[in-house]
Amino acid sequence: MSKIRIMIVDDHPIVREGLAAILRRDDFEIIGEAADGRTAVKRALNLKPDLILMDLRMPEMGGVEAMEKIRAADPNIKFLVLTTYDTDEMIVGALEAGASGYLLKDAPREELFTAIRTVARGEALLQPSVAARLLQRMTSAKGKPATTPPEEELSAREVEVLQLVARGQANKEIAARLNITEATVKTHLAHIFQKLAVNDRTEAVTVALQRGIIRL
Amino acid sequence: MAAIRVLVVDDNSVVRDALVHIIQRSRGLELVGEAADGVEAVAKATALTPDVIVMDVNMPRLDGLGATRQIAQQGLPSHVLMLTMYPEMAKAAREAGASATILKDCSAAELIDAIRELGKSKSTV
Repeated sequence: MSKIRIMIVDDHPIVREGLAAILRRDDFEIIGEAADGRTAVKRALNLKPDLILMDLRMPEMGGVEAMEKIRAADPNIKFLVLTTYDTDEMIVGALEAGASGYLLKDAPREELFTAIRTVARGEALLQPSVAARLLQRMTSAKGKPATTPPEEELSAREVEVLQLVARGQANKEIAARLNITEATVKTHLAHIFQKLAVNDRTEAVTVALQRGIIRL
Repeated sequence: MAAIRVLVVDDNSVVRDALVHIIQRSRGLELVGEAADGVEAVAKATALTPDVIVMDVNMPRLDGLGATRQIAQQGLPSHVLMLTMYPEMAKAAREAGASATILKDCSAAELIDAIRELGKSKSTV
């Protein structure tokens, strides 16, 4: 199996250097580093890593904006946020920008390795404390419990599709996984958007999580 | 010349791992221990009497300033090198008993130089 090609983005040189050394000792390939969001965008589009380990607070351009720009240009690159901060705004901002994983820098080394492999596979992984904050926010924001039933129930297949969307999979990957065509995936998504009264994938996942239709 | 014995204190395991790696691969430095908070730092400083303690500021249970104060009060011979994100922390670090402060956005080479400098002054005490 080929190594996961990683780019490390963090404004602290000692963290970048140490992370690179630790990851190289395991089965990962470090193909590049960047100290700020602007440089990260440029290098990511040039190097095409499988995954970017992304810090959030950085000079020049923060991690959220960098992820948005990279994702707009290359939706195949996966993001795992590795940060000291766990405010609701930062978590939600990062997930909306395209992060499939969110880890705090106090995560043990093995947890970091597992998160990298999970996100690189196209699945999602949130540190439990981060997931708890996110769910709490979503429940309180709407003023109703997370188990409120949907207005119109999704079919089993639609739930299956949405679950894969929540794991960060693209339509093509979902089609392959479910053995259906990409056009069928798009049709399912259109129905999902209509039933949940949302406009896009992110909103669909957010509402579905809030209502307990899918789980991360 | 004997190696400079270093204790690394940081609650972020990713940062701690990074510091450990940098120290382990530097000639003339010997990593004698790691701690994840101030309480653990004081206990390990007492038990191991390192030459230099690389100390984070924000940590659970007891922060880096509190730990440095306790280490200084105990009269331990270790130099504390305070590692912080904020330049304005230098004064508080000095008052707590730290020998020097270094910013977290330093390079690995700058960190090693700072440790060596403190290790050198230790040998002349």
